[in-house]
Amino acid sequence: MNWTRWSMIGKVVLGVWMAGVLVAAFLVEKPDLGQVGRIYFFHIPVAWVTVLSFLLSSLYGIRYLVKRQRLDDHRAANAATLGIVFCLLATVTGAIFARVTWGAFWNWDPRETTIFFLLLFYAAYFALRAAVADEERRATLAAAYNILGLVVVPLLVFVAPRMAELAGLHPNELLIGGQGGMSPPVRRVFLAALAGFTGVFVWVLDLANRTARLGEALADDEEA
Amino acid sequence: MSEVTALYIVMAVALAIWLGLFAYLWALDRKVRRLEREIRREQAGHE
Repeated sequence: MNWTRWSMIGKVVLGVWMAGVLVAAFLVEKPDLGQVGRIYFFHIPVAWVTVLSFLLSSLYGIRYLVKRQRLDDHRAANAATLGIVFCLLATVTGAIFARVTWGAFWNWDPRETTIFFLLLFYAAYFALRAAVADEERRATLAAAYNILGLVVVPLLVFVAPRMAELAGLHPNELLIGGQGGMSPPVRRVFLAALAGFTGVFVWVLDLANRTARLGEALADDEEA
Repeated sequence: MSEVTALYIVMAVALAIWLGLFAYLWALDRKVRRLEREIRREQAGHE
């Protein structure tokens, strides 16, 4: 069987998987925060995908600097776009979660502050891209800026919110490693949701990247 | 309405959204696949 056939099977499996996750997210016993704790199954995977897409964006940027292929620049921009989308989703779902658990949509909790800076950092990435007209110069500058993301993203997501002086309300346990206060069934659904959201992200990013590739193929045709 | 009924209703809403989104992504995927095939055929024709 060829790759296309396998990827189609994978997508069908993903469709069923996510449907299963959604059913389980509502039917599994309620998490320790109560019914509202079901936001776990959506909020954390979305935040995880944010980190993953910004990381991929930086890696594509580095690959552009090494191989100098325009396609990698498109891929970096695509991953950063998806990163912003998921970052906004994490912010909105987090704000709703904050309203019901802490009493206010926005309170400049360390976690809220750092995700705001994360959004600003990648908004600046697109401002930089928009400011440079020459394609090659834009790709090089964007890739160089993107490398900073390898430091900025972990710092804002993993380090800063955990610093003692900044300790806020947001729980900081690494939910993957520790138990994170989840019972085994809740944890299983959470991990399944993590895998499902990652799958959806990979699919959408792949679509965007294939579209960019089609565009490049057309541009090459015109040049030839 | 009992709490359990309410949960089922919200679950149905989430499922409906995912089904719609999945169908759309699938259609988009097929469109891209067709274009890829077409471009491959054209490039093969050039050579």
